[in-house]
Amino acid sequence: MHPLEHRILTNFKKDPNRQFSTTDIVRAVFPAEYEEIRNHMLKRGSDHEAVLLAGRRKAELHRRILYHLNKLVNEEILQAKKHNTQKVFSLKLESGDYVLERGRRRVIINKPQVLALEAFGKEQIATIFDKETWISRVNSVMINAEAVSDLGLLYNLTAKSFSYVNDCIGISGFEQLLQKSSFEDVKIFIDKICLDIQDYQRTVTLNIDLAKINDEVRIIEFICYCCESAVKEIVLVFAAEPYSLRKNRRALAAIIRLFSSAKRKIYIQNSEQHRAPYIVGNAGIYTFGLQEWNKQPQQTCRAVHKPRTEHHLSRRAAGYEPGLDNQNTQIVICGQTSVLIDLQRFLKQKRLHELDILIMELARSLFAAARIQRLHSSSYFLELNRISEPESSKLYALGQNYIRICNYNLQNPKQEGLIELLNRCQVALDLYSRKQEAVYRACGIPIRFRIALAGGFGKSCTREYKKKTIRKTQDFNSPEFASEIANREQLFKVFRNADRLRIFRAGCKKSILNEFLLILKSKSIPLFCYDFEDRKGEMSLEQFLV
Amino acid sequence: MEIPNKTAVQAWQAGLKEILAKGRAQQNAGTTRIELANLITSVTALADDLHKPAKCLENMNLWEYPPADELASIMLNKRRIPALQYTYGSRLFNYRRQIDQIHESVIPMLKTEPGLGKAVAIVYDPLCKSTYRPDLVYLHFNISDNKLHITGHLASNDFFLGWPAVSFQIFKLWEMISIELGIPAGFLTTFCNIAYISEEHLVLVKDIISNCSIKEQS
Repeated sequence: MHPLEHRILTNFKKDPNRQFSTTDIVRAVFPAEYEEIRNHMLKRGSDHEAVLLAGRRKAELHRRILYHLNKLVNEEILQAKKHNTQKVFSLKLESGDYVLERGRRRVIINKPQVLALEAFGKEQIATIFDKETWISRVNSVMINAEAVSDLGLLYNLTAKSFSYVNDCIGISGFEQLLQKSSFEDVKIFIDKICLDIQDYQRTVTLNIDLAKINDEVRIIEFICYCCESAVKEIVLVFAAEPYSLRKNRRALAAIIRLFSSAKRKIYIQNSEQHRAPYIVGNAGIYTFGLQEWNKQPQQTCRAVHKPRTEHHLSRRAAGYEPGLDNQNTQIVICGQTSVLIDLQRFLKQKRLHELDILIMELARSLFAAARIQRLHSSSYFLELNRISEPESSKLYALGQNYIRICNYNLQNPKQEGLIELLNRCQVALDLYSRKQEAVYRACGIPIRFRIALAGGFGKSCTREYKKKTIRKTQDFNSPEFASEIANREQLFKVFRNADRLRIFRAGCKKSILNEFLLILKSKSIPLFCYDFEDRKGEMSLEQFLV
Repeated sequence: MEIPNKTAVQAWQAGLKEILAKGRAQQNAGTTRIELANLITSVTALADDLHKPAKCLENMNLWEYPPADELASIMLNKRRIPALQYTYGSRLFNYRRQIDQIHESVIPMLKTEPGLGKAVAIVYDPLCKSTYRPDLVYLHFNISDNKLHITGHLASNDFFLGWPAVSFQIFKLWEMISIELGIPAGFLTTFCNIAYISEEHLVLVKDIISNCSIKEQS
């Protein structure tokens, strides 16, 4: 057996049920060479030739590994699938014990049994997000930057997490390390994350609490760097309230100009209405249940923003500040699995009132999937469990499964009553989850199983609803927009804040900060984003004349 | 109060009947339940019958009840499941990652001093800070009349939903040790400090009690 094949199979031996991309295997088999290549690519001041050479060397390592991987595929030890831009490999062996021996080298693999589930909706009404890895990976994890002392450690945590998620990673409390570290370290961190994002095809969300910003210059420098060089898959969510927005007015005005020039989305979280951090993924928005997030006790003193309301004062007085237990909890699973329902497709075949039947069927399937994931959690999430030791169960303490609704149009008469129906469905899902938890707990198996309804990003579906662009603050007062906002406020309640309002913004950008204040003060919208990307084909003659 | 029975189904029905007859209504975490203190249940028959109560709950189609293989693995597998705060198997076979209580303490003691009556395996860990504590506190093993007897001590137990599962789990452990020792199994006894039934299950419990032979659906 060739030494490289031996090293490849040893990698699969550690996680027999996992799928590995070519990059994963190269990183595991050539750790030193891979690290050297990455350092060359990240090094500031490297000439173009050096970067090209590093790129060629990386491609060479990929080719070397692919030669041996393809040999193992031909021998029917491994199987390969195309996933995004790379091939993904897994063991083709059935469950059982195997001794793979050739010459003097031998690998013993014990592959545990994994139950297969029936395929989902033939009619494509409901689709699983990332069907290949929906059980062996989680959708998203949240990393607590406040539990980490420096950006190097934060990067290590993030890098390890990429292999275990199939959608996105969130980092909460990023503002502390951003202000504490040198700008050089911040740039290195962002560059490394960008490389990993391109390798793994994931997104990363950085949560920044504006109330805790003391160094406005640093934040502007950082945003400038992100807008110029960083990939769009790094998403920034700014937690704000009217006080912090006014306090950092100048910085925000500069940030808005930078985002609009770069045609990126700026996310604003109303931290008075929703304190838990957000993660923006490809499937949709992820967050934590407010009641559970608020129950997490604060262990150590940390710099907290000055309380400006009686609500804050009473909470401070009680010695109670919500958030992750930042002494110990570095990482938690946020989203476990997501299933997307395309409402437009659903209504072509069934009636709206049958939606609750579909949702409960999906809930039962999600429970079956969660059971398999739980039983194999020691092998599926090896590194994440190690990071969370000695209390590895904390990693799983806040995770939720999502049933996401996309492509809905509340103006459509066929969808009248949708919000009430979804409300009833969420109540039914809660009852089902609690009942299952109670049954299993009575049997000596203390599981956690939660399902949340949420909005979804249906990129593959034909959009039925119409997108609208705001050009000036007065557009907020139009009856159409007011009605849309009212509907979305209700939906936010149903989705328990796991949704976003996207506002396409064109025209003069001077009054945007006032619009932010308007939304924060007078609307119940916990998360909204301004999208500055140009949208074509919707200018009307009236708008030209204005 | 001890209720000796020939089969697990009879034990389950008798225990439920006793709780309904002599239990008291108590409020607990916003729900009402009927509680009875110090309920002892003994089962003498073996094997085929022990899974019947759990199978009956599974077949009700009101919930997803853990299947037999999952119940057994929770008791017999020494590996921790990271997603769970505790498993019985990891506590018994890998307590605090320091001792396999069954193979290093219980079985040797039963082999060398079978009549001593001190072969005990602890499940409860007071140093473990978890939100949920196990119902099962410890297991006691004894050889008498050339048979292996096992007693499980439960601090509190949902007798309708939980007893079928925990009795089956204890049975699987009992079966494993009995085979290793080469001694036939005797009594399987459970002692519940607080055995209870939730108010929401009262109708189902009355059905179970009145149904003299629980039909097992294929």
